[in-house]
Amino acid sequence: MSHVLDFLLTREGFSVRLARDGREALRAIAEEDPCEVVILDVMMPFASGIQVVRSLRQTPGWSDVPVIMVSGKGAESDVVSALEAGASDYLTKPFRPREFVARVRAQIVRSRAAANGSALARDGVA
Amino acid sequence: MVGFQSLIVVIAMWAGVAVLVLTLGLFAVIIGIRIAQAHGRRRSERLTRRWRNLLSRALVETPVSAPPVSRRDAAEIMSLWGYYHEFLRGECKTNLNRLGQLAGLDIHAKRGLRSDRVRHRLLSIHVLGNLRDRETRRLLRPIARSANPYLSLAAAHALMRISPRESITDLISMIAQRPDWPPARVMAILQEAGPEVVSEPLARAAIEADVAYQPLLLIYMSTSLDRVALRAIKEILLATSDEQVIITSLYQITHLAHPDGLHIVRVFLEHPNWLIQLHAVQGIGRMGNDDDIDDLVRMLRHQKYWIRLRAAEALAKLPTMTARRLAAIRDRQDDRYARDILREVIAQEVAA
Repeated sequence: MSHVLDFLLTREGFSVRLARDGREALRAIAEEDPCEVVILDVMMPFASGIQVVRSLRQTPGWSDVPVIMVSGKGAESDVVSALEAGASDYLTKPFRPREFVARVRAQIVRSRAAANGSALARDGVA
Repeated sequence: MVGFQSLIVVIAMWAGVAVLVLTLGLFAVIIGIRIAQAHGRRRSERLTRRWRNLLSRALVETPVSAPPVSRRDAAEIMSLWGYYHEFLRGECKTNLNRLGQLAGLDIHAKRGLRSDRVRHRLLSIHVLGNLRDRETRRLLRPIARSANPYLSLAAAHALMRISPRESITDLISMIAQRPDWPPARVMAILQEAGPEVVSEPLARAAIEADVAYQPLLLIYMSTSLDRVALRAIKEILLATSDEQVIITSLYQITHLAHPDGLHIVRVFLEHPNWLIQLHAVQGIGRMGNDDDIDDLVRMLRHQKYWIRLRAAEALAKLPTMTARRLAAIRDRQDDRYARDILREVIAQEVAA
């Protein structure tokens, strides 16, 4: 699936970094600079998407990065536990490619607006 | 004596040569197999890379051509193509199907139905289901009625994908006869077809089914429209005295949690079977209101612990119930068991 997401996002002009499993994702969070949005599968080898999002929310610099979970598990409890763990959005498979790209864009826009808002507040602009 | 010794030396020498040749031969065979495997792997990786790009491009633009797929590569490409189909939906599937047809996957899949290997036949059935070619239904129908549970279920699923409204009645009639079909897979097929397609035929079948099959069909009613499912369950409950059917019906009503289900559930609080009473109490716990308080309080004195527990939990879950009100109900009880069970539930609520 990562290949398709990579293709769709690259085509839209995004620069994409891929982690092959949960362990690699955790390493990227610990060692690399934050990105604008993180897409996670719930079921990954070595560390689940839920574990990764929890770790991400506790890592300085990454804690405000929007996370979109993509999973075949669409039960109410799965969605709730992902959102409670800190995911910003949840997309169940099968999904529509254009809808996926639109959700990524929406998360980035929201995240940038929030960052601008907090920068303005920090500078004392009401 | 010397001649005999030299004969032994000659035999030993030739035996040594033979072993050496055999060893070298085996070594060469192993190297050959390794080279062939590495070559096959590289070829497969190239093929997968090329087709991944083709499939990904097909998600965003209509394909106009596709490289022909050889018989040797057909299974691998069909598998990859099917994988894209499984995790994507929407308009892009039309493009995937166009690409599949341009590459001749339909021809490979039809041929694959005659394969001796179950895996190939399963793959072919999935491809034909995703391609949604109505002409292939005549090939899939006999497989859907075959003895193999995997092949028959896959074929039934494919038929549902090709023409859901025309295949749903057949599928439902088969469900009752196929205890070897995993219920979770059947549920997934019904969910994929959608409640508009499933509701009426399933309701009809559940009402008309033999009492032995009714619980199974009732379980699948969670894939139906609430109002249709509730109407069918009501009709079944009016006509049956079978306890398993009643229990499954009450379970489904509780699961639906439709306000109209409350009146039905209340009736079964008086049933002589305590398991049925238990399901009725659980239903009230999900849908009940203040009108049910007296009945639930009465159930707190029931001789079965589980009914007392569920009644206390149901009281705690009522929309207008507060901790103070629940404590007041507890204090009014002159039955020790009723007080104890309410104390237990209040403690659980506080801990939560």
